[in-house]
Amino acid sequence: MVDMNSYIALHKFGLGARQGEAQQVGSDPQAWLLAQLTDVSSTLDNYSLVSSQEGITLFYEYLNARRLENNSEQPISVASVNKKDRLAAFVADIDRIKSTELMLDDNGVRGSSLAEARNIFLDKKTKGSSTIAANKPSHTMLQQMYSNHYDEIGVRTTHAVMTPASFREALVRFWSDHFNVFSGKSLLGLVTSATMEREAIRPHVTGKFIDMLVAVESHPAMLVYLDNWISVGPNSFVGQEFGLGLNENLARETLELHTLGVDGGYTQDDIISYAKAITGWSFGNPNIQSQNMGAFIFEPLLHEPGPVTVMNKTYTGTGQDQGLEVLADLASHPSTAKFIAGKLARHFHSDNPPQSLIDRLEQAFTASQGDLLVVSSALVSAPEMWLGDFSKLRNSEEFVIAALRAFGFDTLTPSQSVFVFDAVTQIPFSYHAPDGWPKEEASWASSSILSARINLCNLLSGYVPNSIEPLAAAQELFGPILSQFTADAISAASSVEQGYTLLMTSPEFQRT
Amino acid sequence: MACNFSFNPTRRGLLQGAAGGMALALANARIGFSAASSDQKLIVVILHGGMDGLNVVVPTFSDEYYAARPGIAIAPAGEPEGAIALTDGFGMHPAMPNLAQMYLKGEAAFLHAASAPYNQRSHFDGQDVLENGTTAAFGAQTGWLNRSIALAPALPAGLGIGSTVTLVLTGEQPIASWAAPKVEQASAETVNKVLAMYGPDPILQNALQGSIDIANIVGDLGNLGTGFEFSARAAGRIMSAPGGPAGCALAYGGWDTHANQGGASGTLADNLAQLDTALLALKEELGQQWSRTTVLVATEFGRTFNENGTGGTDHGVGGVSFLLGGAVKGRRILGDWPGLQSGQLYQNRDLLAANDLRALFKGVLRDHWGVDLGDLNNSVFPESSAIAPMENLLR
Repeated sequence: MVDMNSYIALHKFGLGARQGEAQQVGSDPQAWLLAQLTDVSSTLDNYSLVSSQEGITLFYEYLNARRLENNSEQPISVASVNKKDRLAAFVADIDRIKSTELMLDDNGVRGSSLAEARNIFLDKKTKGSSTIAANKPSHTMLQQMYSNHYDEIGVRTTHAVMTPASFREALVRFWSDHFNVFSGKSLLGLVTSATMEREAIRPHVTGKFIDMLVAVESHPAMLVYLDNWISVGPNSFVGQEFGLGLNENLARETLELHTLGVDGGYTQDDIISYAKAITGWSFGNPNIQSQNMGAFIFEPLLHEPGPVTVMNKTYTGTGQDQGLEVLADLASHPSTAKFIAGKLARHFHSDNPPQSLIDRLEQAFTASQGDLLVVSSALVSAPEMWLGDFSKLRNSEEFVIAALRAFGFDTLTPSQSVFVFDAVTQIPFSYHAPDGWPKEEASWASSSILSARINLCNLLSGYVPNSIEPLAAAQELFGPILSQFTADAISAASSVEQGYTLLMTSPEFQRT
Repeated sequence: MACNFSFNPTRRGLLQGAAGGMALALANARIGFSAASSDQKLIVVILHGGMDGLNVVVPTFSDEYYAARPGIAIAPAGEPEGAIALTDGFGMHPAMPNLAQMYLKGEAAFLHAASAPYNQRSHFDGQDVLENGTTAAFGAQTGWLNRSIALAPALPAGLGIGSTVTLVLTGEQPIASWAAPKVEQASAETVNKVLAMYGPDPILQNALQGSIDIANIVGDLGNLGTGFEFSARAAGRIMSAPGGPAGCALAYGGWDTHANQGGASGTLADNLAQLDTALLALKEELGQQWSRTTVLVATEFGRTFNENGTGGTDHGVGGVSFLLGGAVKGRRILGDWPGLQSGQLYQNRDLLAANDLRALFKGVLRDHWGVDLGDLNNSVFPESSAIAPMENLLR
C-alpha cells in the first residue's frame, strides 16, 4: 500500500498513480521526483507529428486551393518579384484570411446523439467542420488540418497516461496553460496551437525561463493568437505605405500574463512601447519571406524605427534585438519572479497556498535567474508541499488523465482522447482567453461539470480492462487517505462497474 | 421540489469579490433558485458563426438585393418559396414561420443593420466584443449579462445552458449551469450513491445536489426534442420552475455559411428552422411567464452583401438581431436602415452597421431589469455613455 509521501509525490506533484507505480517510487519520493527533472526527456520527438511550419504551409495550400475552386477570388500570385506588390498582397491577405476563415463547428461533437457519442468513443473519428463541400482538394486539406491537431492531442494524452515521469508532464501542462493559445483563432490557430507546446514549451520545461519566453513569444501560434504577425509600426515602410498601425494584444498579455503580472508595475505607455519593439515579429508566408514559410521571421519593413522606453529603461537596439532586450529584462524583473511563484504554488499546492511556499519559490526563481530546474526542485523540497493538504480540486483534464492512468487506458485513439475531454468540457487548446483555463475550485465544482464527470466515469467503468476488485483498487490507490465514507460506498456498490465509478468520482480522486 | 436555499448572496459581497471559495461553490450549485430571483425573465441567445441577416429578415423591396444574390436570394412574399410578409417591405425567411407569427402578433421586433462595436470580420474577436460588452477583444474578461445580473435591483439569478457557458454570462456573479449529457447518464441509483459518499465534502455534495435538483426539473430528456430545441426547452423548464433563474444565455453555432448556404431550403434554412423551433419551445415552456419574458438573439456579424463564388457568403459587418417575448412591443423593424445601393454599403461590400447593438441591450436591461443607466454606461458597457439606450422597446 502506498505511504503518505509516495501518495503526495504521485498525485500532488504527478498526474496520478498507475497500477503498481507506488512500488516504483521507492523510499525517497523527493529523489524520485527530482530524477524526473534531470533524467527524462519529454519532447515527443518519436511520434512523427507535423510541425508548425508544415501546418502553416498546409494552411496556405488550402487557401490557394479554395481560391482556385472559387471563381470569384484570385489565387495568390507568387510570381511577382516586386516587393511593394507582394506587401500589398500581404495586407490584402490579412483581411481575406479573417473574412473567409471557417468557424470551427462547435456543433460537430456536441450535436452527436448519445449512440453516436458511444461509437465515437469506440472507434469513430469525431467530426470537424463540414461547411465545405466534400470531394474538393481544399476539403481534404481541411480534414488534414483537423486530423493533425487531433493527432497532437492524442499523442500528448497517451504520453501523459503512460509516462513514468508524470510530474514532468504536469509541469509541461502548467507552462502550456501559462502561455495559453487557442485552436479556434482561425485555421492558423488550429495548425499551430498544439504544436507550440511541443516546439516551445517542452524543450525548456527544466531550462531557463527566458528561453521558454523567447520561444513562445516568437512562435507562430502566439504571433497569430495575439495578432502580432499583423501588427505594423506606423512609421515603418508598410505602415507609411498602407496606413497600417500597431496591434497591442501580444505586448499587453506578455506584460500582464506572461511576465510581470497585472500588478507588476507597468503602464499603458509601456505596453505601447513594447508593442513597437516587437513589430516585425512574424512568420514567413507567401508574400513575406516565403523562403522561410511558416517559420519565425523578423521583417524590417514592418518594424517601427527608433528607440523605445519600457519600465523607465530606453532600448536603442535595432531590429529583432530591441524586443529581445526588453524580454530579457522582463524575465528577470522581480515582479515576474513573484507572479510565477504565486501561480506555481496555487497550481501544485492549493487555491490558497501558504505565503512561505510562495516566498520560497520566488527566492529560487530570483537566485537562479529563472532556472526552471532550480525552481521546480524548490517545489519538490518545499516542506509545505508534504503536509497532507488535499484541498485542490483537479481540473477536468487532470481528472480525466488521473482516471486513464489509474485504470491503464493506454490505447486511446486521437478521437477518443478528444472525446473524453469533450465529455468533461476541457478539450486541450480550446480555451479562448489568454489567461488560460480557470484555476479555482468554484469554476470546476459546478453542477454541470460534476455531473459530466460522473457520467464519464460511469462510461469508463464499463471498459476497465482488468478484474481487480474495486475496494482493493481503492486501498492500493488511496492508501492512507482513503476515508471510511468512500470505502463504505465502494463496498456497498451494486456492481463492479459501479464500484469503479464510485472510486473515480470520490472526493479522494477529485482532489489532490 | 427538493431545492434548499442554503446560500443567499449579498449583492455587495459578490461585487467586491468578498465571497469566499466555499460560498462561491455553494452558490454555483444553488444560486439558480432563490426567493430573491426576479420574475422578469431575460434570455440571451448568441448565434456563433455570423448569421446572414439579409437572408433572414429579407429586404424584399430591394432590387439591389436580388441582383447581388442571384442564386440564394429569398423571393418576395406571394411567390413560390417566398418570404413571409412582415412590415415595411421586409420578409421573414420561410423556414421561420413561428418567429414570423410572433412578429405579426406583436411579440417580436427586429433590429437590422446592427452590430456590436466591431467591424473587422473575425469570428473570434467579433464574438468577444459582442459578449464582453466593450469595444475590444479581451476588453473585459467577463460578459455583460453577468455584470448586469450583479447590478439589477432584483438580483436575478443566472442560468448557463451548455457544456461551456458562453462568455456573455461568465464572470464574478455565480450562475447555475445545466448541460445536455454528452454520454449516457449514470443511473439514479449510482448518482445517489455518489451523493451519499460526498458527506464529508460539502462543496462536491452541494454541486451534485444542485445537479440532481435541476435534472429533476428538466425531467425526461426524451421529450425535449432534438438539436437546439433540446437546450431551449430545458432552459425554459428550469427558468419557469418556482423561484427559477431569471437570466439565461444559450449559444448556438453553425451559421458560418461560406458555401452552398441555399435559399428557401438548404443549409441556412435548416439551421433557421432549428432556431425557429427552439424559440417557440422557449415560449411554450415559459407558459404564463412568457408575458414577462424578453429574448435577445444576436450574432457576431452579418455577411457579405454579394453572394460569393461557392453559393455562400463571407464575413461581413451589419447583421440582424431579434427581440421577442411577451414583454416586447413588437411588429416593428427597429433602428435605421442604411440602404443597399453601392454608395451605402460598408467598404462597398457589407450592409453598414448603422445600429449599435449596445443601444438595444441597454434599452432592454434598463426597462426589463431596471439596471441603472450610470451602471449601464460605465460597468455593463464600459465607456458607452455616447450610446443611448433604445426607447420604448417593451410593453
